Amino acid sequence: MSGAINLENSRIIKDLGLIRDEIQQELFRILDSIEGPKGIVFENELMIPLGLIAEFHSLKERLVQNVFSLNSDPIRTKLKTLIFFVRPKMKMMDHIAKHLRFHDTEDKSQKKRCFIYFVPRKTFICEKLLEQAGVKGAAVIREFNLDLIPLDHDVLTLGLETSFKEFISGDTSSLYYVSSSVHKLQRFFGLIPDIKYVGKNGKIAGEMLLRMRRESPIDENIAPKINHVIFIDRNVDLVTPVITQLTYEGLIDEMYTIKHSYVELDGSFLGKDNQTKEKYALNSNDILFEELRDLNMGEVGPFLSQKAKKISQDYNSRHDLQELQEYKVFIGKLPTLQKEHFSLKIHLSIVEDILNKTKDDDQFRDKIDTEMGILINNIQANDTIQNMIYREKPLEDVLRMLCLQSLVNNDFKSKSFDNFRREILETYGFQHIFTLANLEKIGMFKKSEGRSKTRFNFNQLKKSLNLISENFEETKDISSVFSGYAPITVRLVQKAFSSGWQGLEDSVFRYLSDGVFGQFSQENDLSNSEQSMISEKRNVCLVFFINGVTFAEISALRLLSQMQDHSLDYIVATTHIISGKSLIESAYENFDK
Amino acid sequence: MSLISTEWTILSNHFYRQQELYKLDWDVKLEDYILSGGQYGGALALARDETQFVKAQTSMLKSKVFIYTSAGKLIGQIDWMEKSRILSMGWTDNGRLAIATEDGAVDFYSVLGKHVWTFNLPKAFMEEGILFVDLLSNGLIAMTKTFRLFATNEFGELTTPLFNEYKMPKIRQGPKCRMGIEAKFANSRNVEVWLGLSDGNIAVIDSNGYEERDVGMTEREHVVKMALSSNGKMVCLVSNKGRFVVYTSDLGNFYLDFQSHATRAPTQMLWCSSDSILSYWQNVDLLLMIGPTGESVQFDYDGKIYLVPEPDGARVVSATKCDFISVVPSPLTDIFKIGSASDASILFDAIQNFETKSAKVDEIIRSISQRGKLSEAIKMCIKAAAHEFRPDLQRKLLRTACFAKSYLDFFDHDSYADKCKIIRVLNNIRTYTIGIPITYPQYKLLGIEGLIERLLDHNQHLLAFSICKSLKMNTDQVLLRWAAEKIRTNEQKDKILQAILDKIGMESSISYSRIAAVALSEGKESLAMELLNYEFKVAHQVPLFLRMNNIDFALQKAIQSGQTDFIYLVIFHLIDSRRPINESLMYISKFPLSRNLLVAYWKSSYAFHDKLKILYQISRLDHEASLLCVLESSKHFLIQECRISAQNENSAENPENIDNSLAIGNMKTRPRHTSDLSTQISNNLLDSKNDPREDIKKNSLDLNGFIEDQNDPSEFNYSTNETFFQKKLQTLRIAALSFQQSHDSFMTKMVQDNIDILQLQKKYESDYRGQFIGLTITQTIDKVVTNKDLKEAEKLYKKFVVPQKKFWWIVIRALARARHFSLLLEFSKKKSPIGYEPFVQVCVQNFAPQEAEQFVDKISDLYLRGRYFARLGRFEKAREIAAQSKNQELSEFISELESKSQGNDGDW
Repeated sequence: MSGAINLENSRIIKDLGLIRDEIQQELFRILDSIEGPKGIVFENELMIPLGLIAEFHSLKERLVQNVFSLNSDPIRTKLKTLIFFVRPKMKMMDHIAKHLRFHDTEDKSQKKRCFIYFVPRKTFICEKLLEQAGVKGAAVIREFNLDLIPLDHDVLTLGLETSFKEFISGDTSSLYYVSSSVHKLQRFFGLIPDIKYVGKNGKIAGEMLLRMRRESPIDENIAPKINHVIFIDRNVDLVTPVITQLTYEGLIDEMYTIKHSYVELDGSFLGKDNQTKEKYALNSNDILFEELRDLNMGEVGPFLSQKAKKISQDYNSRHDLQELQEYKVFIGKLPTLQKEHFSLKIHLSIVEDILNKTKDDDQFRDKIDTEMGILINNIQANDTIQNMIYREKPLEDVLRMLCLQSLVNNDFKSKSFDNFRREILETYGFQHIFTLANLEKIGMFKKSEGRSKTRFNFNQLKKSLNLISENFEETKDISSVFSGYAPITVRLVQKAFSSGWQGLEDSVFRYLSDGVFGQFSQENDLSNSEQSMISEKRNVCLVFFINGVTFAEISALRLLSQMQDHSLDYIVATTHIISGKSLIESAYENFDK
Repeated sequence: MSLISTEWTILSNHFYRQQELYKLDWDVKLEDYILSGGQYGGALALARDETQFVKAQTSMLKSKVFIYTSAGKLIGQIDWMEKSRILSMGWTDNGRLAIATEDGAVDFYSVLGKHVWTFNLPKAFMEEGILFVDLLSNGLIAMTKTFRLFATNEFGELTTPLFNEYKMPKIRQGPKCRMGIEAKFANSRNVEVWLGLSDGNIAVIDSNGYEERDVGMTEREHVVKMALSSNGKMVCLVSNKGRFVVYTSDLGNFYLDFQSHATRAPTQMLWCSSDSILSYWQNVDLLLMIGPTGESVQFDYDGKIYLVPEPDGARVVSATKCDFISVVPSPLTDIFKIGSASDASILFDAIQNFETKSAKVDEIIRSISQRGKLSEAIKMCIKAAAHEFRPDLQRKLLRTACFAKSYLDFFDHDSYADKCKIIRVLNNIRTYTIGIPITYPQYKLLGIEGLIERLLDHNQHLLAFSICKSLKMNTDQVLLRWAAEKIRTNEQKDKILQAILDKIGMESSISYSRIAAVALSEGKESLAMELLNYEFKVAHQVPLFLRMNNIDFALQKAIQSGQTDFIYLVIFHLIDSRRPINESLMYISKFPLSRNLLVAYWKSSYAFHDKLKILYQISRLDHEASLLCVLESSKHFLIQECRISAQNENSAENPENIDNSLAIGNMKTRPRHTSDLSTQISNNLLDSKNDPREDIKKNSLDLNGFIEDQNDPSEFNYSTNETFFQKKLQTLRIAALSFQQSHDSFMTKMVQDNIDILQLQKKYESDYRGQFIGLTITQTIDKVVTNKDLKEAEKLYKKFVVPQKKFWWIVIRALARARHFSLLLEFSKKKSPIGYEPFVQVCVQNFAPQEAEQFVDKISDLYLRGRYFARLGRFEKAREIAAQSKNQELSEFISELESKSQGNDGDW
């Protein structure tokens, strides 16, 4: 697990590593139960998550001799046993059927044993598809219950990369996985006494979690290590993800794309060949990154140069050493120093690259200014957006801006709506007729239909949730993650524990897209003395973002927990991590170019 | 001193015992039957031996298979009148009776003779005939009459197992004997097959290959019988010359060569645990035991017997009794061997004496205790009690342990109590009424869960329940099986329900849906309904409501459960049923979630699109329906459409092609009735005179030809494939029409524009060079400009209502990229709506700084003009402007840039 987060004595929940250990054990059990040399076939989406669970050499020890990626190309191998790991998605069944048929017909000399492990569960529909393709009998079908994977001490993901896409098509399959994964956490860390939810899907997930307690009981005598859970439906706040993230980690995601905590960088950043791309793990194994990730990009430069001075000072202190004892101390510090030094070099390269890309580029500035203009002053950015289209800026950027304006300024007038749509089709291709229809369907980019129809009212929320803060630097407000805008989702969490949600119905919730919110409590069997023991510690709240969370929001939650008089630590769980780009891309559909 | 050791037989320093388990008064003439007994004291299945002459009065028995306990109690009968001849019988690991018959079927029955399920041998056996089938405990080996060998390793339940055909060289003569080795003992982890060949060699065959091994047969000698020891480590081969040879099971080491007087192959030969061999010759009524060093001893039986292998010995079934022959377990020899001086033996004797009032006992126990051996001796007595069958001896041994343990300061009393409980359980099970003569080692192998399972198979619910209670085990499984039996009785519904509720209650974790499922399969629907009310897992109610055809409830519960998987279950139930499609869709479209899920499924394949359109229509989703038409104009669906219509052509001509076409299309072929649906839709959707669908039908034939010619049709290209191109246009026309029907003029126009641009692109591909199809409108204009045809570009600009500013951007970008700078200059002479900054930018981007300069002068804003000059490195010009405009900021910018530019110019 070279890049996976080290979870020994994890920061917020000490034995968080247990959940990863269990998944790893299950994987090993699966591999051990299938005798002989074997090959593994992964669906691409699962490649990194599984890498975070087990290192390749531990697979090798279990006679895994080769790893293949699942697509439409046939797998040519002499190995007689193949294990497929796939999400239960219809498209994947097509690929699998193709392989099984290939092994059956073209490769007769090599009769293969095939196992299909559905992750995390098999579904009727996939079995049916395999049956229809006439290959169901050709493989043994089983399940591998891979659910929440820790990306860090405080970030867990289900890795359901298509869950937003499914949300668009009205398929809520992922909700069951959301609830059952939290139920599993309860098995390790005790019954969570307080369940809150906001948004329709949040409610369904919360109710399902309650039901699971009865349906598959767990040991309720464990003192809860998680005190609250909040299910947040992404649909509640579609504004935040389309805005450009301005934290260090968020900007890295915007510029290079982070996948399951890995980012691909130029080899030169890591002191290697410039031609190659290298994967680098961004998590709190890297101490420097842990300090940097939540900072607003404006603070990163000064912080880094200070840090650089400190490190080189420490490093140079060797020249002043006199006593043997001092040498010993220095030598003891050396590995840490070297590590810090290495990571410092990488982050300096990244920061330099980001600054180069943004500083001289007026358009990046313009983009940020326009976003803030829309958010703060409700400006109409039609001209700017039009200009972006003329310059053929990436479609995701254009659509993000359009969505932002549509959401904040209560949609477009019919005429400009049609103009924009036409221009997008003309410039970026007719296939985006589906993209536009999808964005319209979920209310991100649409024409105004009069006041009554649209519930979501950003301007009301802006006031009641105090979303805009001009002096975030001084107040250390969470709005620093977007240089002055605080995410709706995180403000909702903040409200939940400061003033409580009661009484916010008229000022906040009625202006959210579906207005659904609520709370359940679960009583456990613990005695009062055990209860009081718990309350002395800092409480832990699990914030579960259904259908995606951005790095900026995670950072905002971290900042929130560091604020004075805030006695909660947050752990973020999510179906998957998103960015504005990936969110927009979820609306794309396969079609001829 | 007990005399039990006098009943033991000594062979090569090992003690063996022949215990009578039960006297049998079952009036069965074993000569007329074949018999198969299950492991772990399992039941005995008897079927008529059809090779024997049938006396008139027994001929009626021919039609049945009987199942007896080892105590000779008849517990099951299977009617065999209509069935085919039995080839092989065997008991599986989970206590089912498997019977292979001549027609290639393998049937499974419960121990009480109830049919469980059936599968068939591979087709080859039907075609070529069955030479043999041998059932193993969880698989089988079988050979066709043309000597093709098959094996399987997994008797799942209700799924036909996967058969491996093992590669064999051609053989002319059938094997003399064969043996199947369970996968757990085989190196390959697949069933291994040994065949005795007529040349004396043994063929060892598994999934990895075929190998012949020399086993030291002399001339004209060959193997006629083989047996593997119960631990899988040793193998015994008997030759036609009466020779017994023992090897390790890899044939690596040779152990024993024993020459018997027999002239015939033994009727039965097996291992008695792992160190001696039992061999039975029916013709001479001889049962011989051969020990590890070649000594032998004979056991006497009258009439025919059957040997049933057990892991720790063998049961011997004769007409009058059931015996068990085994090695005497070591705790028993330790105590009861004549002359034994072990501590346990001394302890046992002392306490027996105490009971006959001798006072020395205290002294003896203390002396053992002083040597520190007392605890061990006590444990030995407890162990011996567990291994002993006779309750009186068990009692004596336990009493010894119980008495002696009071001398110890520390003793694990719980484990003593547990052992006692187990012994009591085993005694109960061995009684005549239950008739399962399980030994302690067998119990260890089977496990308590396995044992409970066996009892439930025997319908001994009460006993199983009390065992669970006394061992503090979960009783769910027992109660569930009990409830199932209760439901099968003829009692009144209310009584059954009440009985179940009384026993199981509400707080139990037992799933009521499973109980309800039993009621349903017994045809008691109203009972099932009532039971289902007590199920608290919502999702589990769904399948049962479906079986009861209560769609409303099923769908409601599925939605409530939040598990989309169960919603799909309901959906499939509906759409795969024979009910009218409209009715099914009415149910499904009631809830957005179920509708969305069906849409996602149906969208994936063209074969379902006709039905999907009906769903859209029912749900009034005109916009979605039109978008689907657009989607159908993509390569992916055009290909699918062609494949499906090709299949329909084929299958109409030749119904046998359906299988093949399934393999190609991988989705169900379009059902016949959907063609009516499509006309229905077209009638609803299209009133237009020129129905584009007609053209499509005309085209479909050509397309079929095309599909067959190409290996991978997904590689086709609209530019070269006119047919597909036309088809795409037609499909788009339908989409446009569909949008028009729903009065969406914007979308109609967009689709129409797409059709127009595609046609123009087709034309450009012949007018200019390169590929146009697939480009966006903007890109098309760009490419036309690149081809220096500004006039044509102008036309496009007007036709597709491109904004003027955008058009300018496209043109200057294209010209700069193609380095048509003179044209760019000419173009700039018109009044630019976007200013001249973009001109500079495009030139610089295309590495033409000199050309860029010409346009900087045209920038009206002095500040910007100055900046651009500076950026182009023309600092003197820039400074001139700065001075002229007195712009401080500009001056600073210029000097900053100038100082920076030492070394790298033009980098911006």
